[in-house]
Amino acid sequence: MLDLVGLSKSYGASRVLDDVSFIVQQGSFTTILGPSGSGKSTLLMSIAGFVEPSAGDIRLHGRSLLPVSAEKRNFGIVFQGYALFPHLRVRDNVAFPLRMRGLSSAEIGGRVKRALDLVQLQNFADRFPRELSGGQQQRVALARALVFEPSLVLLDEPLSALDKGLREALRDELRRLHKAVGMTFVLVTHDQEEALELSSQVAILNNGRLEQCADPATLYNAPGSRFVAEFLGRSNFIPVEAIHGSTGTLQLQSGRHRFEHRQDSPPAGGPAVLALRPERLVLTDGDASRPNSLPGIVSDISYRGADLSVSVTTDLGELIVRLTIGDGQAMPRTDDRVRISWSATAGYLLHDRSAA
Amino acid sequence: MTFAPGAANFRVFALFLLPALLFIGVFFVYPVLKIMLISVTDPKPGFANYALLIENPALRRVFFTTIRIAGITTLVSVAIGYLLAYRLHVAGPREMKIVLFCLMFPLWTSVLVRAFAWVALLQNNGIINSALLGLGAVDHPLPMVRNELGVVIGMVHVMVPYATLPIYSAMRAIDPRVLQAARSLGATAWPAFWRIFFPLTLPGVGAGVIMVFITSIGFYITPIVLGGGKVVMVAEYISVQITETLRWGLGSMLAMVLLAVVLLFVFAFRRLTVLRQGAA
Repeated sequence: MLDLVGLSKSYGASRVLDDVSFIVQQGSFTTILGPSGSGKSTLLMSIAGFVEPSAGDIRLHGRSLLPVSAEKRNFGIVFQGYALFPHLRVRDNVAFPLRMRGLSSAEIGGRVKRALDLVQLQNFADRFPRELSGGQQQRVALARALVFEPSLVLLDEPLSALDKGLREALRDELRRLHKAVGMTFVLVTHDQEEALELSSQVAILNNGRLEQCADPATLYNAPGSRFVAEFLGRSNFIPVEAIHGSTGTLQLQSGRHRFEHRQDSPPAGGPAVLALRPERLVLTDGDASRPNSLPGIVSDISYRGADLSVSVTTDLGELIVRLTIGDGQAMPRTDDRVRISWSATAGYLLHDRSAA
Repeated sequence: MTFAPGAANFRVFALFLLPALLFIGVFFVYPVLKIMLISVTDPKPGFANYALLIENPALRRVFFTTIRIAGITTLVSVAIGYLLAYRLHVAGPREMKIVLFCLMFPLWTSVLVRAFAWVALLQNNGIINSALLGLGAVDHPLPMVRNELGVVIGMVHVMVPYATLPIYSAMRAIDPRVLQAARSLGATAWPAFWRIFFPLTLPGVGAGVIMVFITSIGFYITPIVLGGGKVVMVAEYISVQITETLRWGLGSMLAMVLLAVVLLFVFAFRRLTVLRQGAA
């Protein structure tokens, strides 16, 4: 439905967006994820029509949006900090887009009521924004962005100003709303948890470039770059010096160690790293020799309630192992000699751009 | 060190406040009370001075002239101030510096000098009338001094910066995202201005109106010079009563009424703007 084609934006010499292309499907929940300064807000504001791209195109249903001004794009936007109209009551904030569209007051009354019901603020219609909590203001902003049934809803870090508990509650609410209204949502955030939980598609930006755009499971299990593997969840990286074989089971050479690895389309040539998620690693006794394992010494243990994060020093660097301790199971201790092992399909082999 | 509320701490605070209270008491409250006293005792006790305001048509005229001139000055100054403030608001940093300088520079020049400069510009053989006559735009010089027009022009010139600055600061306080939000919701330039931007600047407009009106109502030098004795405002009239005719009671009464008008105006106007903003 929405196509971003080779989108670039420069301010003087600095390139904020660099050749970004991806597609937003109708009815999807797409998240633009990146650290601060990655260009994600600029990207959203380009879609909204407040930033004019230096190159590339934005197309809605195949038609370029660039000649269309922001007020004619018909997108609902939830701004960072909500940008409610401070001098208008909640009711009039929500009615504003309908008044701009010249609807009859009966029609406006009905739609405003339905929008406020949707975000459960029916009893707050006569309040002013400053009389509401942050979470309530957020919901007014949502109601205002949804009430005119826009073709696309853009959300710029809508949850970042809220405290943790509220953020999680509103995350569920966002997901419920997206299902209820069936509109297309594009959300910008720097919170990876938020992105994984809400989205059907995540576009990861880094330094203005698109690192990868895929569904959350693909991003987590088959990251396209070291940046993605590091930014989404935690990863251990083992440098790989040589890869033997090209199909089926590969042999990876790393220092004096050799590991088995299976992957559908492994990267060809160039320096590579094996990315290993901490929860895919298994900790065993230090003496037993096993295939795909690495000896080491426990250097640190941090207790995290549901699980345990164990740092192990090996001759390939410090690796993190995440363990869940079952009933009656012994906890590892600092200075224990252990072996870390993993299956041939546990890791994911990546090009190491940072080493190139 | 922290202060807990308590009698001992209150005494400490009172001690710090004392110099300011003394100063205001000796140099403001006492003289005002004294004037109030004079207005009901001189030449003889009673409210005869206040009755004069109703009985004496000349006095009434001076009074209404003052309020009319101050009102017109306020309207014109705030309108010009709004446009200037908007220009400042949308200006780049370079242009902003220039506009601000032009706005502030007259403030460093004496009001007396500026009034005479306006006389030079506006009088019958002044620059403006000479130019208009030379161009054949008018047959005889336009009367622009020694009347209310001249007084208003001179006063507006003095008051425009006082109107501009509070309005400009209100404009600066508006979150630009609020205006982006208005546009994203379908508001084109005019509705976005009229329904969102303008209402949000009203507190600044209100502050500008109060500033300009209460200052204008007591203007002294500018009306004397540009009114040329034909336009008399209350301040000049009071001065004449005190220094020439020595009717202290009458002058004091006018001063008290002026003070009452200002207080009433500020009170009423603040209520009005607070209601407009819909504060709870």
